[in-house]
Amino acid sequence: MKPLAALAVLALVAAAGPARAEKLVLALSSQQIAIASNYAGSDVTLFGAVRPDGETEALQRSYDLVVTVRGPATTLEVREKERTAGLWVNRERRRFPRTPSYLATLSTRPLDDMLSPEIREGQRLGLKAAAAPRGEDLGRPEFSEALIRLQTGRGLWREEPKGVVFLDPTLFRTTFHLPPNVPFGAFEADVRLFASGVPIARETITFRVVKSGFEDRVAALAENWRLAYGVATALLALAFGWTASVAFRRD
Amino acid sequence: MQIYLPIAELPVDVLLVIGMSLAVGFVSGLFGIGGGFLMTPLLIFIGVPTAVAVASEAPQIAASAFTGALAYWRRRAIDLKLAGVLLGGGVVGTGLGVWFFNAMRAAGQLEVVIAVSYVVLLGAIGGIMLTESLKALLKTKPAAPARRVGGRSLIDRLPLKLRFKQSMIYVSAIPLVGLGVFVGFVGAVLGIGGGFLLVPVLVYVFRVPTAVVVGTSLAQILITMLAATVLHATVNASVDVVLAILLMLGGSIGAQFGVRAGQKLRGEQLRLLLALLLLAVGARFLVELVAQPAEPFSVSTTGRPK
Repeated sequence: MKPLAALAVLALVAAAGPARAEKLVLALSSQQIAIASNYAGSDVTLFGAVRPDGETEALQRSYDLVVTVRGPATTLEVREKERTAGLWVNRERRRFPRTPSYLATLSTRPLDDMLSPEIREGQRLGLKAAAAPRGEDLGRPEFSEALIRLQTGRGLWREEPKGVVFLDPTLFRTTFHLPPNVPFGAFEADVRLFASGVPIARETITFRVVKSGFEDRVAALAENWRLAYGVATALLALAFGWTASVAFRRD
Repeated sequence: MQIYLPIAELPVDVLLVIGMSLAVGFVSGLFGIGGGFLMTPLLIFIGVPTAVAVASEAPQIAASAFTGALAYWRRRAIDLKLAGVLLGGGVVGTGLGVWFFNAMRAAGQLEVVIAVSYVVLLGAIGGIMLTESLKALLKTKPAAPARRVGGRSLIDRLPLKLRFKQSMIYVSAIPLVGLGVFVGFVGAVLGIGGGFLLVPVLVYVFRVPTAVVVGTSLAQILITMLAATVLHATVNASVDVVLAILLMLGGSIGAQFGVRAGQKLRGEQLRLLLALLLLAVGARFLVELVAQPAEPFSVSTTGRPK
């Protein structure tokens, strides 16, 4: 939304003087995404700078970045239809507790090229790690694969191996898309800096997705004043029916 | 033009939803039915969660039933006593239906329960109507509805008989309350008014005169759907008022054109068309149940994100 303002902030921070080790400084194009009646998805841009430890050779190091954007954690349930007595009915199901409802993994290059399998395992990066089987169902990887496929299909999970670009040796930028069906709540962008496949710095920044104005009030009414909301909707139905009856009366 | 639905939590095309409700409203005016059995599947098809589609369809059916009921009320063509007895069962059935709906949703079987119910109900009613209307059309004179001898004598033997002056029937309250429970239950689970179930049973089984039956059924549907709206809102918080307003707008206007078109057709022709429509929707659900799905997996959120 305000990339120039974000860049200005970064310029100030970058000029603030040397630090002891590499540090990450982050800024988002918006801290709060408001969902109004015309919401049809939005893009959020994250700017960041690598602040080196003051020695010139640090700038020569080739950095890699992995940005993980997570929506509120929830329990996702994957169900499998099976043919039962000629009908396709949901049979087996697997639960994925504490799984991000929204997940975007953006990086400077593919994770497999960047990190050794051990480090990747330890850092739990990427969609595969988020959909890793829990406890009892190690025998059926189909459920994890289906979770990734379905969440990607709904636009809620995405992996962009070249989604992060360096604008100059220390300044980087990435843009992620929030789909129309984005969940509400607190989001977190977790940025990890790697040099030669070794993690050297980590920083997070948060933002919120909220319903705005009218949508928020309607949803709050429906949740907190259930009976009143139901009765009001019923009365509205009567008003509509009566109006139609008067407006189109033929006898 | 997109509008964001605050409870369904997704944006929909306003013109698409109003267009759909105009079309369904036309059909409902044409045949004198609520149209819920068409609208609910269409809403699910465009991505509205099943729970929200079923719950938000209830106020729309209530609105169109109220419009119809007012017209019959002016003509004194509503048997209030009969409607009241049906309602006694209807409210109980609605409560059971909302509870069952919730239980099936938790068990992950809601979609299949809805699909099977549509196939059975629409197939049965559509099949009966199709044969009846074809017979009537071929004979070119109205045939007397077949008497259900067995059921009739059983119903006659039941106690708690009541006299319904306006409907000119003298019948036990037990099967009527039972019918009300059934229609209320089915209505709450499937997001339909149940007029297409209620009217044939009242006409063929209880021999209520056609002049009174539609108004009475509308009065019963009106109260049942008002109760369903309040119950879905309190139990599931799944009534989307924005969606309901769009549906009521399109539905009430479409119905007026439907009523006018319906006056140009004969009763048997109307019943034949309605039978084909019921069978087509039923077949659509049957295909979904029987054909191998392209994606056998589905994902749902069980815990609310906080």
